[in-house]
Amino acid sequence: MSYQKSILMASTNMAAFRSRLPAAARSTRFVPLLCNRFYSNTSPKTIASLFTVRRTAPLTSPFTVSSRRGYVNGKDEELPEGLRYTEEHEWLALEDGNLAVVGITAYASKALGDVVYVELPSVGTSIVAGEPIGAVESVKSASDIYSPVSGEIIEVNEQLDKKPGLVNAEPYRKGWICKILMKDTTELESMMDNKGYETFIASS
Amino acid sequence: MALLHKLPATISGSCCIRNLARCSLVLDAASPSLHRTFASNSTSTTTPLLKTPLYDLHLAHGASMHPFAGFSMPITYESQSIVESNKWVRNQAGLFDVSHMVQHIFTGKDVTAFLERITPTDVKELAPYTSVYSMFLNNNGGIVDDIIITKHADDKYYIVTNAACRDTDLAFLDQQNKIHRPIDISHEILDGWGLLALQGPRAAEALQCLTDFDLTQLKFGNVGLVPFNGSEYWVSRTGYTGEDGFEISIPNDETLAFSEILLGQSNSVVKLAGLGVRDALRLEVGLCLYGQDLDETTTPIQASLSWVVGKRRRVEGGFNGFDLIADELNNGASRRRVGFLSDGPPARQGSRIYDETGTTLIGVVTSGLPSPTVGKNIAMGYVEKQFMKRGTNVLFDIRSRKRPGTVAKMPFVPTNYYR
Repeated sequence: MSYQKSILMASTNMAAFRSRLPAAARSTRFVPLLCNRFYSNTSPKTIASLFTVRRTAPLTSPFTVSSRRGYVNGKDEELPEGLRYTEEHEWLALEDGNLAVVGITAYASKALGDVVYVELPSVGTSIVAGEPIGAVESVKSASDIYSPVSGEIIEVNEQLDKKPGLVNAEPYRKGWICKILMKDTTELESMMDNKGYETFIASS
Repeated sequence: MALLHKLPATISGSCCIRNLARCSLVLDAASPSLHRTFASNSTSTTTPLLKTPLYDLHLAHGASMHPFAGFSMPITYESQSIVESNKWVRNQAGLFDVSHMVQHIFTGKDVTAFLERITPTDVKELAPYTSVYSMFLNNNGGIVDDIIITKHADDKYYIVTNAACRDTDLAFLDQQNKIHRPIDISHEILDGWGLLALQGPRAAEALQCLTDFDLTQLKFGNVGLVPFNGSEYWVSRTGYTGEDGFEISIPNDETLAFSEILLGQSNSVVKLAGLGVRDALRLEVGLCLYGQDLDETTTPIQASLSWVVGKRRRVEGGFNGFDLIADELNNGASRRRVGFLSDGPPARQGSRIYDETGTTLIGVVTSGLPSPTVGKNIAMGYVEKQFMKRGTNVLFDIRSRKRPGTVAKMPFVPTNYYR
């Protein structure tokens, strides 16, 4: 198993863990501890891998732990803290290391109106930043989703097949589009932060 | 993400019944990225947009305003999404501001003959105080604009045309006037007048509260001069949604007050509805949008609107493009407008249509969207005549992938006119 794949697997496990925790406890920082205390039936092996990830994840993440907490707990009508944005109104959250979660912003989903269909990319597809990876359809328009970064699609939000409205209701949470294993985390440097994106939408 | 649609070179509009939105265009303008394109490319940045008498009311109701046919028009309102608004109009009543449309008055004893020259309608037989869907035709039988003709008397007609066609219509009328040289005819445009469309199964109930005039006397297509609190407005029982409803022509300075009364009724069945939902409503009942579904290269026969050509006119002719239209009536047109149903991603304006093997290009979609009422994707477009039969399987090219659809009967949603 390659280095990247092992990170990926472990981080997916951690995401699954986090989702089982009480909302207030979903900060990455507390996951291992809380797991031990409240989920003692969890196999030691899984917990071990979580710790491994914490130690081996590349330290290139532009997101601080506290900002990740913002992403997890933020209200959807506000910009969650610590995300990166494109001029095409996609957001990106670095889940761990070089695993990016991608979605469209609340501003975009509001402008689209009720989303009735989301075209998802295929898992395993290699993509280059700026390439279309899917589309969001509302009654009034169809909009391409462009990949903010280069890499490989490793997971898509299949819930959107049945519930495309999640893109409107929870654009930063359950309405995420796909996860991309990034090739080059320096691509994040050219993306906007919260302040930059707020300025950008105010002027558009 | 960015919008797939490109802005059309010209913005088209609507006609009263039909009215409005060149929708996907307008609609597109509502998206963030497109809006930027729109602002930078549009001439609207150099020419100030016109405002209807309800402009301030739209803003007060949180409308998302966008340029349309030279006007700043409401696409959606804060309180309802397009899906919610669609449901509201189909169950209650929606109030649409269509004041941007062009209202004409033609008077004179030569008007009837002139209208019979430039439209395929039985204008002579049209009863006073009735209105009918029609179209201006060029010499090739192509549709210059689709219109509503209302006869008040044999020498007085009220006509509503599309806002986006204003310039081409006026040039066309001028040109036809020079060719046919009617002597006794005068033409006036009711600039600045308000035009409201009140649509939905509870429209009559809402309007009846404001007048002693018995609205049951007005059937679909009838027109009456209805008194409202000291004023009298022309009210036409027509619309562009497939529902029962009215279009009301009001002097500029009375439009706002009248609208506020309608919206302020205690039972509150009336809500403002924008051009966005109007597009979905009209497509659900198979009505065309000029500039998208109809244009100057399309004849009424190709557009599956041959019913517009009056019985007497089919025999006698005497209107622009008659030879060509008569030939198509007898022998069939090479292409026809049909409806489509599909699942998955919706086919929209510009999607190419292939036969079921995916090898032969057979036509193009002119309007399409996910229908809030049907719960499936609906579309209309033109296909070669051998593919027009209901149930024919086709493939739409959507984002470079072929997706299945089926030729289907229109309207997609049954109409609910008051007859």
